[in-house]
Amino acid sequence: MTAELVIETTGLRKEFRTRRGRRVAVESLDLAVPAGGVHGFLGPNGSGKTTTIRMLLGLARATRGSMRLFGTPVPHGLPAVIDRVGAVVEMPKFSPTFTGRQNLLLLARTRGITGDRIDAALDTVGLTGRDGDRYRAYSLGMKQRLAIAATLLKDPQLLILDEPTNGLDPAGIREIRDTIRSLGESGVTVLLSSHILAEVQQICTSVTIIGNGRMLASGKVDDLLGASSSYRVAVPDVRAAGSRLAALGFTVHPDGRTLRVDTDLPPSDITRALAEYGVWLEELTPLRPDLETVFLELTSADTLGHELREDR
Amino acid sequence: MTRLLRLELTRLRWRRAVLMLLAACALVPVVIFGTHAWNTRPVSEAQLRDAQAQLERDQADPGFQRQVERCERRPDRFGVEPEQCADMMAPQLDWYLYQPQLDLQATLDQQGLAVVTLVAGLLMLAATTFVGADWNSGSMSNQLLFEPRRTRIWLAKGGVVAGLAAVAMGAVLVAFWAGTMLLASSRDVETAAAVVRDIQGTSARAVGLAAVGALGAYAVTMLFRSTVFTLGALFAVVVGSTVVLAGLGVSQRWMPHTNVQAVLADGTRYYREPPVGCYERRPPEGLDCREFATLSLTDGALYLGVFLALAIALSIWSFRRRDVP
Repeated sequence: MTAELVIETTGLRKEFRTRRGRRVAVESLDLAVPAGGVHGFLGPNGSGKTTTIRMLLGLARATRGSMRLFGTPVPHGLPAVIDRVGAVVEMPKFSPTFTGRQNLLLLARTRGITGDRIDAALDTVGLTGRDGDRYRAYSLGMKQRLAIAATLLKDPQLLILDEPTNGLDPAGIREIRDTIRSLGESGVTVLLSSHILAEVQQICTSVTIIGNGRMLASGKVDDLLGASSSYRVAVPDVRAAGSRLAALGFTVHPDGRTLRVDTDLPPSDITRALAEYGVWLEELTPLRPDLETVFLELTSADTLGHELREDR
Repeated sequence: MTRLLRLELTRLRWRRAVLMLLAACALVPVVIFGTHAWNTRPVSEAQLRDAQAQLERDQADPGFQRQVERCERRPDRFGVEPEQCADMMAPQLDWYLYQPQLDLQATLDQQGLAVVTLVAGLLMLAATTFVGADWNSGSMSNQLLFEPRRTRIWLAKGGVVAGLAAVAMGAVLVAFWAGTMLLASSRDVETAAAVVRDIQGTSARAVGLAAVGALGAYAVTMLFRSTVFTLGALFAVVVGSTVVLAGLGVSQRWMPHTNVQAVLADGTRYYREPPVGCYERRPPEGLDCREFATLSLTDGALYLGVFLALAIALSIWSFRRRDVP
């Protein structure tokens, strides 16, 4: 099992010492990210996402627990796998007085990476032509692009992106989203931490949701959202259709000029029941919770998180 | 490791603040040399004429003649033979030429020491600025994402900082002393072999001290992760500790500047308060009542070495263990 996992943490815990004592940022986190695809890493502010990422990358020490990248224990074995990992952690951090190219060049030389890759990375993020400007003159979006360019220098098999679209304009967000999606499709495993849940839902194949440093849910996006059991039904005669469906055992809630029908039966049963009654459907839409709804439900009810963890 | 060293050297070359401080390092000896050359310039004809005129006026002064006669009458009061009185009391031309002349030993003790002190201070500032910028911008974490072996990063940065300090101090001193020697040669000032050996020895130790000082400043910055904090700490050590130690009556042997002086000058003399017993009418036998003691180069180096080793050990330990923002 371990060989198939690109990221694996077991019982991960991180405590910070503060003036008021110890604060637990991450608690008993078992994270498992399979190889390939884009894995969303979600949680409210202060839930421990960035701390977890920083521990995985050796920037912070875990208080307890174990971590593996590509099956190699980290942080001890990090030098062996660092060439396979690209990461943007929180805000981009470069020397402000150096140009974008100089910043990339210094990072590239650390690993003996050639200048060709710098050009390619700059081109990928659309910074060609601005690479000679000082970093401090960059907009937030350009800084973010430079950070992503830095992750691409190593030709990574695992990309860890912590809020990579921060500060980008809509066009920039779309470009980065497309880049992430294509990277995921090309076999690179992407761990994407983001607050933009619609974005995560669009590009992630699986997600992990954490709250207060604990795992709340983890799995494929479709599984988390669950099968739909609610439908919006639009018909010319709402009252008659509602009575008919109720008589057949459906749970019906009038909702203005439409009906909300709750059922475990397939939607074709609704169509058939109304057609047999001579009522023709104008609309039949499955009412499926989106990721935002699931996220808010999970993060507002901590007990659910414990239940889910016990299920795992 | 070689790749990391070259990388850090590039980073160092690209830091404008470091380049400005290196430019200041080059300027310091130029200014001191220029000032010293001017202050010790040969006496001009006009100055010589003025001095000669003053000499003749004083020699003709009746007061001078009376003084000579007094000496000849009671030479025992003056501690000379009667025939020596006129020579001893006669005004000399040198007395009226207030301009000091170039003297290599004096230059080593004064201007040479000033150059070493100022340049070493600037190089320590360059060291702390160099790595402080990494912490200030947060780019240290980015570097660790490409090279997670923290000890290697510490050593590479430290090696470059110490190397740069040694090379810069060496270049500055070679230029300063080459200029001074040329000046001495052009003015026909005698260059004693012993003085040249002193200059060479002091310069070699200054190069080592600059490297050690820069490495120490770098280590402290890596420990506190802030240039400002490091400068405060260094100021506290250099000035504060001297004031506090003096206030507590601690011997000068333990003052930082005494130990630095001992290393630079291959030993130094410092004032020591004789034990109370020395002030008794009959001091106990065997009691060392000398007011000045000698601090050797070894003792000074050991004192500074302990601080440096402590700073380096703490710095590496801290860098390896603490979370990087």
